[in-house]
Amino acid sequence: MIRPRAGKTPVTDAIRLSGVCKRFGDKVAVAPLDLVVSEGSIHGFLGPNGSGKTTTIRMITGLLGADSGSIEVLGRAGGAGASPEIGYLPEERGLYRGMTVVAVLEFFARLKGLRKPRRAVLDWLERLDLAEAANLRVEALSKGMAQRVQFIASVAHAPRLAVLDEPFSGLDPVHGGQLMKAVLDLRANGTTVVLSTHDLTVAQRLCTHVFMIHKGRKVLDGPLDALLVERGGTSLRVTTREPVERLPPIAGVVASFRDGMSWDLRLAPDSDPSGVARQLLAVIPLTGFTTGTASLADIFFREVGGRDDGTTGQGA
Amino acid sequence: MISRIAVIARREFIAAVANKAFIIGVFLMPVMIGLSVWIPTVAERFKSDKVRVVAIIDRTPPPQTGAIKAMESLKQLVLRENGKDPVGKLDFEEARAGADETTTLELKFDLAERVRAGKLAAFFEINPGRDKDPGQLAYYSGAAFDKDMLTSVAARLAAISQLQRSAPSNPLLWARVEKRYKAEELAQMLYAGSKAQDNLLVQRELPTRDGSGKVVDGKAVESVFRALVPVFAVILMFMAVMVGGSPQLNGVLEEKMNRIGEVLLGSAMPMEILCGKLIGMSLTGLVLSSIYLGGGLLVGRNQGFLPEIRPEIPVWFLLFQVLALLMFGSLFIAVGSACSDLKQAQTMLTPVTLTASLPMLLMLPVIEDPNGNLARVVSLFPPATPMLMLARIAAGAQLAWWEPVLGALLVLVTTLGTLWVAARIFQNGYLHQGQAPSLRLLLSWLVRRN
Repeated sequence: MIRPRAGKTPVTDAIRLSGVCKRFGDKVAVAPLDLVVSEGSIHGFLGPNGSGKTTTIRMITGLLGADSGSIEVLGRAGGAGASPEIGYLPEERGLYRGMTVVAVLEFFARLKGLRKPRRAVLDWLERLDLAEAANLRVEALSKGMAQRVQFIASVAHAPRLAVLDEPFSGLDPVHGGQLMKAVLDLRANGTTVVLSTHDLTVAQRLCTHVFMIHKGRKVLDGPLDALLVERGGTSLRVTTREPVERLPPIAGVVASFRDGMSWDLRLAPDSDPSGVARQLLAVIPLTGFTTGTASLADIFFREVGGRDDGTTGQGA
Repeated sequence: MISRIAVIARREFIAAVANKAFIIGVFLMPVMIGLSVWIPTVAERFKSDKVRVVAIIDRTPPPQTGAIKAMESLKQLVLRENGKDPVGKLDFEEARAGADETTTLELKFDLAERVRAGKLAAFFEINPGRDKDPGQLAYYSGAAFDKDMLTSVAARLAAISQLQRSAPSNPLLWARVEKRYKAEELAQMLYAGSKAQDNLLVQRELPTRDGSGKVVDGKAVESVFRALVPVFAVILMFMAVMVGGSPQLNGVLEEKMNRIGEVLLGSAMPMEILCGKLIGMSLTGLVLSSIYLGGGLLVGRNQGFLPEIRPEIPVWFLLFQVLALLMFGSLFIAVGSACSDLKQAQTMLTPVTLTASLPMLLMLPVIEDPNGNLARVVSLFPPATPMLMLARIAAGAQLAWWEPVLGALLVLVTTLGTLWVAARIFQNGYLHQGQAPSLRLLLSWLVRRN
């Protein structure tokens, strides 16, 4: 349940980008881009490395200026700036290494306008399993702990808009799960969340909307459920009788990933799964295959292209 | 093992020598040496062309009186020999002592008022007494260390005074020594001789009026210590700037390297971050210099030197110290923001260090002639103002009220300008990684955002 935030000006769109363009020298980082992020949504920013996600986020947060176009964040033109209504977790993390966890979190919360941040900070530390680290120096934290502390630093002041650039990188599944719950709680409390991630499984579980960018251009934008229906199609998982190092090129397969004796195949929207299975069966002995609804990962690979090199695991 | 050491040594050597900081340092050293030689020459050239009037109260009874005439003769002698008097253009004015001590004190107060108003350079009093009475020659000046007045004018006058006393009835002596010695040599020799035997010359503060309106003669001052006050003040300020500035640079650089900057920029405006950093670190510098200042005053009190430090000096010191810390601090922060590592920072720091060192090179000429043209001009050059205006004040310059005010305003305007520039570099530089930004890139950051 999304609760309206008391005392705030209602804005339907948390973020509105219109024709935003950014170049670095001759390189176009972001081509003219239109984007609307509705208040109360969890908007996933997806795209391969170097696609322009972080540049777009930095323009939204006001760290970078756009070369052209307009940016409106929570009704304010020109990017978020240092508004206390925004919480920002940058891709590259940084905390004062000599300070204690509590002190550094209180420092950032005060910068965001909390006068007595101790209670909020301690609550967050408790929620993210960091209560015992409260008085440790930042330099003594593991990477995962520092990552969660950094997350708290960006949301402890209960922002109206949280912009999180790769919040789950470097976290183990347990703490990743804790953070996912925290993001859902933020939304439940009325915070709009913009989330950049490479983890498409996480994105699919969390996001209400998805925005995909590739080489600076928008390739996908809309509510996740609708996108899965419109663009998803079918996926195919096959199991081979003997280990296969590399699959031969099969028409209709966009990308393939090895998972032990099985292969996950990303299919083109118009391809027929049974036809693909038959083609495979003609060249490789199979013990079985299953079809399913395409995931966000399938869409991702279809839109931005994936690897077909037999690499085990997720290729995004 | 040797070969491994050689490999490492080679890498270290090449890394150090092929560094911009090293190359700039190679060129900078002779520049600094050249400046330290060149500046005193320029200072000489900048000496005021204004005729400096020196009043002399000659209280020796006739027939010994005639010091002014002798000084004029000596001046002409120097001019004949050198073509120019190193002391500058001097004019002597005879001030007749009153019939009693009170009238003479009133006369001295009037002269003091003229000194304070900048209409008189200084005045001397030749007291009656036996040949080697201490305090025979009193020198009244507002300046802490007026080199020309102390080492030349006072020396000549002391020499003349001694000559008159030692041979009051032998008018031929003057003619004899005049033939034998050069004028300056004569004065210095006689003065040195007399100085060795007693405290012939006493420097005194300017007379003042007490609460009842009675004139109080200026107390004797320790001229050496008084001359050292501005030197110590400037050195202390310079140290505080350098000590306070380095952590600012390192702090920004460390934040940049640890990527804290982006988090900060998401939480506060660049100008807010900059001002916060600047104020925090400037307070550190201020605490440092206050500790040393307090310690110095404490030592001064224990050693009896405290009266030599005029009470307004610590106040001006603190004011200009704050301005210096803010101005140079913002420059250090700007350098830190524009660089990605310490080596880059060393290279880019050179112009800042050079600017901060400039007052050190100009300090002595300014203290020696705090009312001169050079002192006036350089003390209104904002990067040098905090240190050199303070040096002038501590050296007892007769400043017009607007001079320190204008100086402080110029420094404030410069600080705000520097802060603005630093904020632009800070904002853009924080997201800039890798190679040091070129001058062109730095300038582009000033006119537009990344």
